[in-house]
Amino acid sequence: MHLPNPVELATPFFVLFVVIEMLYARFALRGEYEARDTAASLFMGFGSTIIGALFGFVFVAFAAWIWPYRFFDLGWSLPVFVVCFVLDDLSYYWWHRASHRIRWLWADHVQHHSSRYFNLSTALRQPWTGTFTFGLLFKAPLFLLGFPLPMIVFVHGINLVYQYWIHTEAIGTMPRWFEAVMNTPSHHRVHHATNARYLDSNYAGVFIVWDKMFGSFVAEDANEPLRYSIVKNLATFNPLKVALHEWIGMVTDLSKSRSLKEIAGYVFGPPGWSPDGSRDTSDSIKARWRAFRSAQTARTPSPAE
Amino acid sequence: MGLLLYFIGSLAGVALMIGLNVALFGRKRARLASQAEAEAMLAAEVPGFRAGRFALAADGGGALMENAGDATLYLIAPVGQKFVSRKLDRAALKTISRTSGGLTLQLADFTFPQLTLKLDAAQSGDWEQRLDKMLR
Repeated sequence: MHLPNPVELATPFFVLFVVIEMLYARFALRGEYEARDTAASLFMGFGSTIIGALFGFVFVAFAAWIWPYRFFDLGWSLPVFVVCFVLDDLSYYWWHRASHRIRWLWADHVQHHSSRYFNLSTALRQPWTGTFTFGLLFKAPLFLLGFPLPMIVFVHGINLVYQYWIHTEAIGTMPRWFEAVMNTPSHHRVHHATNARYLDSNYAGVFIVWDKMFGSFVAEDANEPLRYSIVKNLATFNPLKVALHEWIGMVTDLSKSRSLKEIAGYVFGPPGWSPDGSRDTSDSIKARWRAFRSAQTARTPSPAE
Repeated sequence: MGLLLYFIGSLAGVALMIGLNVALFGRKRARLASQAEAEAMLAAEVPGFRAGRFALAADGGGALMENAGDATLYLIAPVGQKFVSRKLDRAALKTISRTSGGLTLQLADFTFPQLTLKLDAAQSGDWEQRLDKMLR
């Protein structure tokens, strides 16, 4: 069965909505844009498309290799499409969570998080190195269950298109029932924020229920201004440096490694891991922040005092 | 042919969006106005930060600040319309040199361009000494 590519079909609308959001941000003063940051995001997106076209065969080859080992033949029907969409989103959740907790995957995913801004152009800041991380292994269960390759590619395309509109400050919150089930701009702002309380949360693609089920959900607090990007913000808009900075950092660390344990830590440990614990990880930042908050609370006299 | 058209169309879209961004928002550069601004930024980023010694470049093009809580030193530098901070320690700071223009810092981070802070001679000397001691 031939299915269209949802991302290709949506691309003109991506451009249109960036234009609309820019105008809205400029005249309604809700949201921010900076030309050099936008350019970096858009060239990252463009580069990612080219790399996808060049190396898409890796995904197809993987599918062809694993397909004979499938447990079922689910065929083509609307219910199968729906189940495939939901399970693809679940696999996205776990890939995304792993991408924030394992440096090997983070070195790729960090590229998407590197903008200081949170607008629709940020959604297009796509990594260049995903093919080489073997993150596609997270799709293996879908193939083993017997969902056909074109169906998986199609529903994943819809998933990505859905995630476009949630990269915005122009929308506050959606109706309560929608916020409860779906990923929204509010939930995704939290995901992109570097405020200590927000680190490593809201990994959902489409359904925020996964975060609620697996304990990674954090609600946006309107009283705390969000700071976007990564803990150690980049000081460059050069797409090549954006794409390679964490990989170069990893290679540099590996060149100084003195044991297999250190090698494993630098590659598969959480981002920021170091043998002597001298660098910050999201866990250490959160622990420091909690300790600081507790100390502050202890110092604040109660009204009775 | 379809794919080529898609790439050409995408590039045209990219050009349109960047052009509109410049037209609507200009190309301002961030400038640090005061110690309070630098302090607020670091306080948001570093739990428990307390401002200590401070030096602001004359043109607002960066600052050095100490966390009085643990005596760590921070560099704040403008990057586009925002600021980026770095904790300065032996691993982070590569070289430091004093010139007539001020104090020039080169970090080990290859994404961080070399930065010259326009400080007066006394401030330059003081901070060079402190950073130099850290490097040794």
